Amino acid sequence: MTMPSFMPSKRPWRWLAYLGAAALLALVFLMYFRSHLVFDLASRIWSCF
Amino acid sequence: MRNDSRLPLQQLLLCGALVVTLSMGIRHGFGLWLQPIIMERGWSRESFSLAMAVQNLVWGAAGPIVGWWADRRGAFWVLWAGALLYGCGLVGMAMADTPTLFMLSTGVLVGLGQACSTYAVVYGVLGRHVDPAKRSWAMGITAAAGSFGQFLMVPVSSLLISHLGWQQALWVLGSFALLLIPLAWGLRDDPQALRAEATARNILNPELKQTAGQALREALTHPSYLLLTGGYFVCGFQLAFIGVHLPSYLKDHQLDPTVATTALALIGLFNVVGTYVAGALGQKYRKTWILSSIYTLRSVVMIAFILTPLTPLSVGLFAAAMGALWLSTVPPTNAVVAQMLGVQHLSMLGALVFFSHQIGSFMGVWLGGRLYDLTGSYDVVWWLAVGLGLLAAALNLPVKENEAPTGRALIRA
Repeated sequence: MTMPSFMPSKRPWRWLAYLGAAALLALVFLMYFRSHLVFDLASRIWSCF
Repeated sequence: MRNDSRLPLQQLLLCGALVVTLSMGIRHGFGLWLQPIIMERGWSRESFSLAMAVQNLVWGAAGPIVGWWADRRGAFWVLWAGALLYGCGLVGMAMADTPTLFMLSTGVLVGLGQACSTYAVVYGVLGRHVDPAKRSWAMGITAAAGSFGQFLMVPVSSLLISHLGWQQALWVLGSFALLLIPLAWGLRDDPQALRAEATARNILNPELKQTAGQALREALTHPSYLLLTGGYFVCGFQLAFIGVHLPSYLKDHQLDPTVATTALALIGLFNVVGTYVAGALGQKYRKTWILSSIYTLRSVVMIAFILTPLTPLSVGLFAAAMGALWLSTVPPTNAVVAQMLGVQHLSMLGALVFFSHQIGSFMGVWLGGRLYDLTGSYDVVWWLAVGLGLLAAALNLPVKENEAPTGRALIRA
């Protein structure tokens, strides 16, 4: 069944979803590089050995 | 025609993804608790490591039994049990004041909680409700959510420990685990009603009349299933060895501690992307070729890493490449099991394959340490991981994903 012309195409939503996911990933990635966290995390990893 | 009892795809993906995000994420930062716990309790590292090893083995060993329960009664009550076990295990981890209690809570209870709330259980529901045309993609979305959980929870766990203290941080994680309960409602189904409907609609799949014992016997005598299981052992070996021993390897080569953190972040980031891509590709190409390519590429990446001088840049490139190949084996492996053996016993059979992954993980961690002690370097283990990767690639090539066990037609429903 084809989509009625007045309904929004699925494609923009798909790109919005990809964009949202990329933004979320970038946000979490940046969390690793907050100065406090990076040293805390590094020292915890290092102190395991 | 679509089965009326099937759950909506969006609901399945949203709830399944959130369940796996929580269950895979919570456990991923456990290494960060090593120092605070052993310092406060005055225990050896061995006590902590033993509990973690038990946890991984319990997770793997309990999987097929939990999977049998989920295949029979649906994921709902299994996820309930998982939430309670996981939550109690985390609170027990905070309160245990002897190594034995610590092993029982962190090792046994959390391991059981994981078995009840990770891939095998969720994939069973996806298998029953998602058409084969979208199954690998749907498994890719869910596995990518698990990868995202791991990526997210490392910094979150570190922040929780820094701001609340290690015990309170575990209480918070325990409350996160209880969020699995409302999410379980979104995955609530009745496998027996679905089978009855399929029978009424005269879909004559031989698997509909198969008992769990028959399914198990059939799988264990099916060469392709056994080859797949062997390949997954290697996956566990490589990931556990790299995950546990890479920071130590970098430290031995006098790299700055922040290089290890950067590597961790890159593995986490590329893991999410790689897992999703592998699931999506599984919808278009032969999944066994994808698996074989992943194992080959892992070996190539490891060879390049071993043979080039170790610098922050080479570590970064290695972490990004390995990250993209990290959990990317999960969607194609489970999708092949569903395609070959059907979905009626998917949670049990998927969990059995995963058990071999966990034994591989155990061997990767243990042999990594043992061979390091014997030889004074990680070189032997790196080359062992390379060789095993090529072996896994070879094992997956003859797997016939389009061929059902002898005596019945391929199950596509």
